[in-house]
Amino acid sequence: MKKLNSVLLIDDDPTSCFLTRYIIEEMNVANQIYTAQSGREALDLLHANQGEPAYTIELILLDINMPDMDGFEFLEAFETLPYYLNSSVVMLTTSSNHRDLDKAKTFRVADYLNKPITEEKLIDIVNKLFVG
Amino acid sequence: MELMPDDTLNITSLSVKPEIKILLVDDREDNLFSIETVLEQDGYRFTRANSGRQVLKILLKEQDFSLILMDVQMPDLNGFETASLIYEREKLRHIPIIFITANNYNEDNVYRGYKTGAVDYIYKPLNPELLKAKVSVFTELYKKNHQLLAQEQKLKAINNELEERVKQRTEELVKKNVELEGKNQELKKTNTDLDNFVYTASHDLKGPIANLEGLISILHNKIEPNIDKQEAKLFELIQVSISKFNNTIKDLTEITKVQKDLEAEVEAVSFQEIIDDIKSDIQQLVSVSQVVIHEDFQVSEMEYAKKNLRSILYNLLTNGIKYRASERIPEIKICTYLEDGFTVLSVQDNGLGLSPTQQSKLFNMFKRLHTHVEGSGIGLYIIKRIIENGGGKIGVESELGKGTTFKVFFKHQLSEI
Repeated sequence: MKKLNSVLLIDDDPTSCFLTRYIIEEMNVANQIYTAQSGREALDLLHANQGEPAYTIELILLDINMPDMDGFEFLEAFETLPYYLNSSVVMLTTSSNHRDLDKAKTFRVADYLNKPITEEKLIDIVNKLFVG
Repeated sequence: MELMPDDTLNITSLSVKPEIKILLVDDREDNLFSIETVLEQDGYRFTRANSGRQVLKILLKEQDFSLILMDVQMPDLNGFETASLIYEREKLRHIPIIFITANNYNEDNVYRGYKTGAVDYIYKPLNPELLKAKVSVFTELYKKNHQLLAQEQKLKAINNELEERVKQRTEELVKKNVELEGKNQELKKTNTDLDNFVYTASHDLKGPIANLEGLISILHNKIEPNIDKQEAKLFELIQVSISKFNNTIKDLTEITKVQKDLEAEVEAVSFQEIIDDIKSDIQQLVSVSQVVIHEDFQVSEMEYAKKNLRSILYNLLTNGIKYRASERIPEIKICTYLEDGFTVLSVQDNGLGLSPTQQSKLFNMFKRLHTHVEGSGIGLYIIKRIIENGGGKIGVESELGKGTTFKVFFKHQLSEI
């Protein structure tokens, strides 16, 4: 299994965040895990250190429903950034909400993961996106 | 005197009996006296006048004469001149005048009399019987007129009352309508609020339950090497509970989705195509149950939202298979045909069947009638809502131990084939 440089996890729910992070660590998927509790916080993080972390992030796990700046608003801002093509965005959902899925199609979203994230789901998606 | 018909009598008895007043006009008292004498027995009331001027004076105060008997030859104003003046007044035009005139009066004068509106002549010397008869004809006419008038007034009154009542009713109806409209708006709002609530609630529940599911899974993986049988059972039960919870939330979301999807786009959809699509989706269920599906689509296509028609067929078909009777090979007949302006979809199975009590609860939300089969019981509720929102209806016929037939009546569309 391929080990990623870094993963950015954007989710406002601490438990959900903990769970996903735990699984990423457990599966040893990435060297570095960044976490943000909102789109805004994620953008701040990307801009920090002259955008240095942004260039190493290969996978962004993005929750849709968040206060402050939700997943779609984040994507809108993110897509204007020079390094956005470096990362694959996977949206985290709690349902196959049609409206959300339709909206997600207007962005460069690599895939969707239904919560909760499990070890199997994580391995599948990493394999799908980064191997072969 | 002619007898009045019964109904006329009845009407008269309801109103005040008219008094027959006759105005007698002659410049000679003896003539007046003799006329009065002839007519006395008939119970008329007489008013006398000796000249045309006096007649006009009397008619200024009283207009309710049934008849005027007037001598033609009078000094100053003669009978015809007086009649002309009388008939100038609109109010008096209905009073008939019988002119009393000499036998030798020439044709020209007679003509003048008719022109002024007089209705008859009596020639001197007076024949008492003729006088009585003529007067009786006119007073009779007056009575009839009076009755008609009374009747008309009554009718008018009834009419007015009716109009008033209709007006009141209309006002009440308009008021009720406004009230209903208001209630309707309220209900619509409540419905929307409810849907929004269900949507929000189910959505908000998804996060925590997903977390719970994930946490349990991690916990399970962590302690799995040392887990004993009992603990494994506990984990399994927790898993079952979580998936039930998830299914319920999914169903709740479905309900609100139906509401939001009701305006889905209508297109020509083929029954066969949809059935084939569903069958490939439920391949496993079909092969496990060994169900035999018969199809007979007399109506092959229909204008409908494809997704909705699929939901309807999916639910009815899978229900038919799920609730099969284990002792016989399940058979399902799916037909479409036209009936009474509806496109009918009938899905008939030979499964467990439903008792009348079960049938009455069939379309309720979360009502499961057979406990051994998986499901939340939301399917029929949802398709009923879809069908009724499209102006159709769904009905069920069933017998315990024999099977069930669902019939969906779709409002007939013009473009149907």
